Amino acid sequence: MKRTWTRITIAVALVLVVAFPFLTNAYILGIAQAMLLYFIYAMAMNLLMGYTGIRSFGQAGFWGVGAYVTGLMMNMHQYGILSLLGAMIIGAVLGLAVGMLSLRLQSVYFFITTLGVSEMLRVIAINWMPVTRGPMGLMVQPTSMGLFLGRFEYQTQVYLLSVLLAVLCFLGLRTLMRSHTGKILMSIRDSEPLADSVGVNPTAYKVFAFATAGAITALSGGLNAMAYRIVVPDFLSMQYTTIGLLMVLIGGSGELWGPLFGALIYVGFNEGLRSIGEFRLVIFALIMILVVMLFPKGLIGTLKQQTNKIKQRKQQT
Amino acid sequence: MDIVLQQAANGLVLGMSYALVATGLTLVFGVLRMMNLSHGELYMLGAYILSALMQYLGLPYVVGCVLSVLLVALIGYFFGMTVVQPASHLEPINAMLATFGVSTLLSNLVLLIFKATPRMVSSPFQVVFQIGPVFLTIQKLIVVGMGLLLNLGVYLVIHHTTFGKMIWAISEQRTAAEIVGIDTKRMHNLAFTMGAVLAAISGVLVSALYSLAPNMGSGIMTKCFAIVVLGGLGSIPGAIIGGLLLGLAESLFTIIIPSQWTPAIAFVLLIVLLILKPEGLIGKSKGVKL
Amino acid sequence: MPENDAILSVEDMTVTYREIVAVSRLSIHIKPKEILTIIGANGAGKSTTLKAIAGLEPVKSGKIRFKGEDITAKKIRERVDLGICLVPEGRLVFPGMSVINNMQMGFLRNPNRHRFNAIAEHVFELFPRLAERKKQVAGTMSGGEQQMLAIARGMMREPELLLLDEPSLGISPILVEEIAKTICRLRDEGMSILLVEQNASMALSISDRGYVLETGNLALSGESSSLLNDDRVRSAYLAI
Repeated sequence: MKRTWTRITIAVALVLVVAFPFLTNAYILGIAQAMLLYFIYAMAMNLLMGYTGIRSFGQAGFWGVGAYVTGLMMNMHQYGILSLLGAMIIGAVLGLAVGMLSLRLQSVYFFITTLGVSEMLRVIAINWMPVTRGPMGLMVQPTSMGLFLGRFEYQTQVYLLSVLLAVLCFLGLRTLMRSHTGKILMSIRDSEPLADSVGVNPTAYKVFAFATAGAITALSGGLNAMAYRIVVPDFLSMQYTTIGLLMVLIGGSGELWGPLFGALIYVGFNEGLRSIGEFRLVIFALIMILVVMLFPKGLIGTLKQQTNKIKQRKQQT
Repeated sequence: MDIVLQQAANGLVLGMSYALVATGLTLVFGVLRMMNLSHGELYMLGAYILSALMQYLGLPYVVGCVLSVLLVALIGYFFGMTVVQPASHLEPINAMLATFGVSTLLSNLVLLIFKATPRMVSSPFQVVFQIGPVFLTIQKLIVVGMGLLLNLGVYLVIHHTTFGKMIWAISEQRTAAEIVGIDTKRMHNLAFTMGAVLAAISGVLVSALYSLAPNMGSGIMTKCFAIVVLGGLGSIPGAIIGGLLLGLAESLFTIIIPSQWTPAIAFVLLIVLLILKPEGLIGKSKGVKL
Repeated sequence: MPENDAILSVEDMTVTYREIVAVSRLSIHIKPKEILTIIGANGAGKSTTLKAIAGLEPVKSGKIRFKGEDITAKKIRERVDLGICLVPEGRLVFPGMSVINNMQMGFLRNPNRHRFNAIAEHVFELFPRLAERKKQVAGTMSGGEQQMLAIARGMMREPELLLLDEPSLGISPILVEEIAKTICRLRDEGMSILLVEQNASMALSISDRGYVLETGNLALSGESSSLLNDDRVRSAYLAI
């Protein structure tokens, strides 16, 4: 009975989400757009950190690269969907390369390497003027998305594409984590030596997770480029890595619905604090410190803990 | 050839400023076993507080330096106690996010207060003189001199004073340090403050050489990561040598490639090194060689 | 039951480790100037008991008294100051520091600051191998030498009660004998010693009294000589 209600709720929600562009104005749609693409980013992070236990501090590298690739391809008049595909492919290749090189290292060194790679990409983005236009940023020409979305307005096209991709990602991840591969990833997270001892090759799976997460992160960055039509080197900075990490931590690391909550909360907060202007980042930093220190298991994780405790007490009485 | 010598000299100066900050970072890592991502901001604050003291209070350079270092030590101690020390018990990712929060907090506060326009600090030691084909300023000599003195000083303190050995012991074997009765919590805070002082001194000395920007903290941090890995996590000699090497490399490379690309050198070196020798040049992978 | 002449008594102590009960309602006591041993299989709770006494593990319930004083809530440092020193499992020397440095670390909480040389001399007399290696870096020494160093470090504070956690683990039999003899000498010089051991025959042959732990509970207790002759002990722990 509960299952049917859940399904009905999800169906209704989906219908609302798809109909959204026709119900509201451009500004609110922009916020919903942000939530969708950050949701995708958070899902990638969740796969990487929440399910496989890989702590990378350089995800912004993938995000920014995805943004640049998509932007560049769109400027070459490619269909939106192809531009995103290009971003994902590059993201996967980058993930494979970096992953194979560095995942065998100790965790602290790995973290520094991922940071180093994204920083290096940022330096390249700042200086490779002919391609990236440097600190001024790359303007992205709007093109058609493909997929017969052509009859809608640009913003609506991007939005609907984002909905489709977000749902696909979600379903894909859910399937992955329920599959045999998914269980192996989780076992690597919980105890790599143990996984190793039962004959699994942890590095191979970690590289797989890293490359997949890289591709999905690049997808998110690409959507960002599409939606807001500007790409700057800042996208490759630690700031954007932190956003990804925070979303997963707040939403709940390793939880299926965690990324959605994390993205909603992040975008919500961002919008809510917009009125404060530049002070926003200071407040944001303060909130980040407090959340990370007071809710180390994330908001969802802590909620789960508390509800479990209440359940236990109820069982005892 | 002249230009090579000049750049080598500049590189040593630059490298020494890196080494100071990197030593502080590696010291904190050795003792607390975590990366303090706000360490670079202590360097930046050293420079900015000095600039503010000189500009708004009219204090002379040397007085400003001393005061600034003291203030940054206090700020460092404060954040060490409230954020870094408690965070060291969390999972590493949370700990790093917490310190990154402090970093963002400080750099954005400075950005708000001082805006992003580059500032300069003038010191009375900027007289230029020449040794052979190389042009130097007394300020640069002071940087190198102080750097050597401090780094040496830290090394001597750790290896030859009881207090220093306690820090050394904690970084070697924390449980055993607890067992012999060392107050590890207090030592953490002290080591942290030492690191802050080192970073602040570097910032204060270097502020007369280059212009200040609110993001100079994160700029030097990313380089210090490379240095600390090059030299081995937790190794002070490694941080010193790594810092000097990086400074030299960056300065010498500007002879052949445009200077905006120099930040990339640190990472290229880092990546190459990690592929070839994952434990760093000097330090061991897990153990600490303070 | 608390004995009035005990230097240390553990009363009804329970120690849990992540929801698992490691030690259950244990009551033991140590008399002054005796070697007391706790033996048992792996996972029986011997090390946990020792660590609880040292202050490394928190106690879920029960009390620990040292010379009558309740130390259950005291931190490690406070217990060291009272005269309880631990020689931990795995030795845990400071690997990058020299023998002398390690000993200096052990001496930190000794209130008589002038006594370092006197104690060091005594230590070197007991462990000639350490005397030969004063400046050697601890990490380069053999397991047995490191164990001697760990004991030496524990001695530097001149404790009244020395806690030894499995000192024979991973050490050659010859060195084990040497260490065993030194432990006896320490007892003769007035130290109380709590020895936790896997090697039951060594432990029972040098100790005065013993406790046998099984899955966190006290199974047997008595004079070591009687335990040595006890059939249950012989078959389970002495491989006879």
